[in-house]
Amino acid sequence: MSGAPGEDAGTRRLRRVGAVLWPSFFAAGVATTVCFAVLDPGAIDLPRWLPRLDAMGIYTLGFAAFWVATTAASAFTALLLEDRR
Amino acid sequence: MSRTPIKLTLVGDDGAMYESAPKVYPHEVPGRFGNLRKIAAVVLLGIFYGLPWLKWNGMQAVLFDLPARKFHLFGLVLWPQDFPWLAGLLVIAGLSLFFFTALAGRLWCGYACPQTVWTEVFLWIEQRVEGTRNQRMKLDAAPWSASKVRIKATKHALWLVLALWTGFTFVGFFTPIATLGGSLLHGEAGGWVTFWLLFYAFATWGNAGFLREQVCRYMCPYARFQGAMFDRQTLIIAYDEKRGEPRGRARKDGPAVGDCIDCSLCVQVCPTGIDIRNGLQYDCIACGACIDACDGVMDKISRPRGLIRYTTQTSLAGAATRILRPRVLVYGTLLLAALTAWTWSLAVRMPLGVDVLRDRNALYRVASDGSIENAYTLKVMNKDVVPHAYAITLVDGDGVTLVGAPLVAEVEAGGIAAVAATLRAAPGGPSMRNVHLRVAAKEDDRQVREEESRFFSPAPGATR
Repeated sequence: MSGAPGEDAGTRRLRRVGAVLWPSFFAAGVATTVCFAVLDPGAIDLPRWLPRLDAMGIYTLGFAAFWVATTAASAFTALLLEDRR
Repeated sequence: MSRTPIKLTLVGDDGAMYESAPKVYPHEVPGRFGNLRKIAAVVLLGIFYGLPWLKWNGMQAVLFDLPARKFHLFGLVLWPQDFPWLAGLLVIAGLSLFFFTALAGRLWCGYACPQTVWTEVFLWIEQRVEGTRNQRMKLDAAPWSASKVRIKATKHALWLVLALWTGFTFVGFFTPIATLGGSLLHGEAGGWVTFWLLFYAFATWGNAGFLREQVCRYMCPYARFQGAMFDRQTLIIAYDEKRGEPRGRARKDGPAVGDCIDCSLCVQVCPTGIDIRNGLQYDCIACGACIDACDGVMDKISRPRGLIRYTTQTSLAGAATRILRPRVLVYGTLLLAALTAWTWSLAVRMPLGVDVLRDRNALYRVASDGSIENAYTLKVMNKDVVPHAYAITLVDGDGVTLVGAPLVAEVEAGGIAAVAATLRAAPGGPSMRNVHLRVAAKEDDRQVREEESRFFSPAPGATR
């Protein structure tokens, strides 16, 4: 990802962070919506080592898990697209 | 030939590892489009902040009740099974964006995008507290003093109040807002709810207070692909180069100049910090601030308005603009079709859902009189806004009967009832039969559902 001419390092860094975090946030939101439209959090058997969670807790945890996964994918893509100098 | 030394500034002279993007200090000018933007902001924010408080039949009118897994929309109750309608709504929203972009360019960005609207409000607060563009630049450049701390603290306090109220309202769309307000006042709000409130407040504060135009320039996907919906007939904001150039101030005996006096006001007012005179740029969110600024200047120097104006590339080139063109017609037709299909399917949607679950423990049991029985649980979902009594019957007997038919299930509005049902058959029948259970609302004969299930018997000749 090379910046536009005249773009400084700070802007480039912000742009990279934004380009990773925001689309992954968006994708995680969509995935969470679809996932919990099908799955009822009340009907999920969570592993025993997890603390007992109410519906809101499971939604939050689900969203966080999706966001971690999508962020990782976005960040990996950004890394691979990086110019090797 | 004389050589002019080029002045070099080294990045990092001030000790920083990198130079950050120059901060944009938009100048505030009165004008038509500024007023339009303010009206749009008031209306949209009014809807956002007001909607959760609106009641409909004694219920919160718009509530995406996540814990109860039900969406309430003005008396309409959507269940997780109704997810396609929600997806349909998103498709319609997407097509509208395509249609309006092809027709009128980035109307969304300039007037309706939450990023623009909240930035507008945060900027408005900043201007009230810190003053005009010059005062703000001076304040930021000045060393820290008691008065600077006081001014900055005031601004952030106001921002924070607004951001927290925004987070509270946001969460109020997902959990009943009146209850939420009460529990917050008593300090009894749940951890997750508090987390989301703070998360959204923080996002508002960061996006509208600091990131601002950077979100549009570096983070927004729409800004990147809106160009695909554009053509030369799309409404854009443009500087009339033919009229404006060569720019400069007219002097007696000087060379003839265009209408642009190069006052740079159009650049000063731009929230994304671009110069519209350089032509169409994807950083331009089409807010119209530069039009207002330039019109004001044209009025002062007694020139006609519209040196910067809403126009099309075709029109700038001197040709007539066609509004109805294939692109607009295609997007328009798709949008209309999606809207019609969505409304129609919602209108004829049956507010009754039935799930038939077989007893998990046993395929069948043999009753004391030798007859074969299968056990089921019927989940009857009343998606209507009034309570209903439903009659449950077996449609095609095939030697099987429903014990105690007709069963009756009374279900409150928006409720689910689990009804235990037993089917019975004489011994010696086929090992598996398809059966159809019928659930019908007693007072509304349009609400009928038939669900298929299986009835198992011991295989003929099998010994138990």
